[in-house]
Amino acid sequence: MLQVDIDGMTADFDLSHFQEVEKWSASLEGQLRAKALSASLNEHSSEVIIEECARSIAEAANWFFLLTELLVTAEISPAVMAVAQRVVQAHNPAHPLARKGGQPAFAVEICDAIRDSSGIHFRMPGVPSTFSEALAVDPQDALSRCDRVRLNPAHEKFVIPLDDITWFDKNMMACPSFIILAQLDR
Amino acid sequence: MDARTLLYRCRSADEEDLPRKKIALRTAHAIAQAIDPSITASAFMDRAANVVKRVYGGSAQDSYITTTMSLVSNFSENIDVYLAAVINALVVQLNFQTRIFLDGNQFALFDGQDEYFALAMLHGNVTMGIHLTPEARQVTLPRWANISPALEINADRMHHLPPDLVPIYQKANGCRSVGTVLVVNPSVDSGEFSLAERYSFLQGSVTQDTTFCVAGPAEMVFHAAADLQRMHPQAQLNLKAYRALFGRAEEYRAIMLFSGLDAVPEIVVRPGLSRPCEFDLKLVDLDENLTSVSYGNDTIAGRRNSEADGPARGVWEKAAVKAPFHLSSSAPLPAEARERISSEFEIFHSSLAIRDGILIPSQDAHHCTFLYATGEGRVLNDYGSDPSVTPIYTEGWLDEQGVRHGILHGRTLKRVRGPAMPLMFTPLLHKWHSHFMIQCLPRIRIVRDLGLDMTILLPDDMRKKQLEMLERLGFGPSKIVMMAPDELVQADMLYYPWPWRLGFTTYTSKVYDEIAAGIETSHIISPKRILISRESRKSWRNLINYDSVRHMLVEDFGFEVISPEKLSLSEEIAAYANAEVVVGAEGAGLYGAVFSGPKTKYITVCDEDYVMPILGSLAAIRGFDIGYVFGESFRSDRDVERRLPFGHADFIIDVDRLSQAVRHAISP
Repeated sequence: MLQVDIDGMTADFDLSHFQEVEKWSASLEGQLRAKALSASLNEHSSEVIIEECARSIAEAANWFFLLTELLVTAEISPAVMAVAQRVVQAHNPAHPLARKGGQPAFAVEICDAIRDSSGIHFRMPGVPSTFSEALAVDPQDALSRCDRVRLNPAHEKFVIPLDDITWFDKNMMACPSFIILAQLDR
Repeated sequence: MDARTLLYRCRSADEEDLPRKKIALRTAHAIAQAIDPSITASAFMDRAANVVKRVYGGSAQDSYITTTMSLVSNFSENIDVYLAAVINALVVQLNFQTRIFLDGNQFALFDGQDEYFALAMLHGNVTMGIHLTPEARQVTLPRWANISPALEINADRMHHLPPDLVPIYQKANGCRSVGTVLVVNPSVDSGEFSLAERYSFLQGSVTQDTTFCVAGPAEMVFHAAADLQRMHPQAQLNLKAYRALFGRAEEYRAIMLFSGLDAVPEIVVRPGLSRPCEFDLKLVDLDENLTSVSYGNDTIAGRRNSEADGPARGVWEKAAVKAPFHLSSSAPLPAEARERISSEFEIFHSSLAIRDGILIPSQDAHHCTFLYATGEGRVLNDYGSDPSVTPIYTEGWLDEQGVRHGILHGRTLKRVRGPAMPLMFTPLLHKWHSHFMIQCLPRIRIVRDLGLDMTILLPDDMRKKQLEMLERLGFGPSKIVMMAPDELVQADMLYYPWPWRLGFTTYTSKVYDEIAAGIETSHIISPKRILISRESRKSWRNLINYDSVRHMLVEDFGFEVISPEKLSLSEEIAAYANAEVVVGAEGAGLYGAVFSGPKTKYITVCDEDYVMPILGSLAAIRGFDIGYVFGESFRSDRDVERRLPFGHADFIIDVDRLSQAVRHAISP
């Protein structure tokens, strides 16, 4: 239930209807199913959808293209990254991103990071400062550009040491967009 | 951001989105109030619900869509906000200056449901938009267009054109290519079509950058997407399946965007959706999916068939007809007609409930009816309506067992969660306000008696006053689902009350007591002697010498003419409640008598064929006196067999006979 008030008037909005997309999109197969479920992940992030989406992407011949399209186009969320982890798991279990089951504790796309001599600074509202390690992923190429990074909390921000992200152009003050993802067990 | 990101970056809103949403909504509400001060924050939010619940794209795009679409939703009902946002993004991104400089002007081609053309063109200020229509016509902007800079539309760039004129306009406006082709909720009437064939005039105008958008029922879009993937695997395709919410109804819909082609693809679009059906369901088949429901056990005085099986279960309510204080006729009245205005009659109260029931409107020049089917498509054969008059039936086929099969078509299917009931028992019934008052609005009592949180199903072209009456009975927009004539509706439990015959009863007239009780009218001054105008009548049952009647009543007796359809609800209630004598032709104009009491006298004028007990039944309930002056109809003797019971011929009234009746009414 979402409560909104304007001009002193409060209204409640029931959000429970955004469910069960898997039932009525069941007639879709293959890549079409992968695309439709990819586009629905942020509205329907149940375990069934995540599993079904990951499976249909992983089984496609152009799975890397579909995965990249998802990471570049979708709003990054734990559900989206859970799909990515399972797709990578199916093709390269040794990859740092590969992971079975569960959703990461948090996953967010950082569009406004800046660097200084001490590291890369960015905000992640709502993410507790207790997380100390994460993955930094380039959505354009999640397989080749994915590093384990340290997360240092500093004044409502997080800082990643410059050397931790190997694929960044260190000369840029404004950093390219990247995905920060922390696993459940870290 | 590319329009396709809207397919991926959409989610339900949460607390963190509220600050942004609130700023956007406040702006929109202020603009809405400037246009129409009667729009309350509560009504505004009700109509903006779909916009509030979802986040559309990134935060900036969501702000834009929240402001614009909450405003549009307040002036155009039943807009699929998501679809509007996507097609709008496709057009606005054609404004991109560098693209224009390098590739030349591009235009947007729109084909489909009218109201989405303006939504697509919102802020598409330099992009030419062409709406494909059978004939060229003038641009008419929707009410909300340009009422604020937030809703800016450049009408100079919009055109409604037939296919053969598109290349001419394209050339004249220097458009080298088509930037986007929008196929939006195409009409079922157009039948299935190949994109390549339908848009053959675009030959040479499609480039790899042209984005095609096909939007409509999920079933239709999924078929088209499968076609595209099979025939053009190199196309860049994105597909979004979603539920569009329209108050209490939802539709399973989809949008596909594709590009990367050099020509219009051969794919086939099958507009709307189809469901197989069979005409084998009879009332003897009552089971847990089709049940007989009785209502009004505590509220209707009448003869009960509570022990009966199936549809015979219900209540027979007796309706008295008041004897007239005056009766005069210029032509012989058939015995049946005399009997009708002298004898009491009964109305049967009963209902069916169909689990996952589908409501199917069917109408053409020769018939107009609702069919009812179970979720599996079994159409009910022998209750209330006759399926054999519908094209679904006549175009169907018999199987080896002799069961008739058919196909249900709809532009879309609205799914309603929980119980639902149509207020009308045929799709067009509300067009005749008399039927609405007698047989439709009082169905609200059934809803109450059943004690369910029922959704009311209404046609999408109700009169403002009809909606106001519903709202006053507690059935405002949040409890209503509007359906277009080409839409199917399916409800978890669909209620199908037995249609009432024409006449008021104690039970049915009660809703009008409630409406009147809720409206203050003591400050309204209204005439004592009223003639109900026939001037706006343009169809059948015209009182041809109305002007003579009017002249006599106004000049000789000081009557004043009122047109109830032009009065507000409170003015209408006051007029009928305060009048001493009312003269009018039998019809909706006289049934405002629901607001009258014993001090009023009614004189109904009509032809000798149209003799109805409606006003007489109301007189028995409200206690007013009623007189009849029958004139003569214009009707061939060859039509005599079809004159009764409800002949609708034009007629004339003997003015002198009416004058005598009025004298009788006003005599002490």
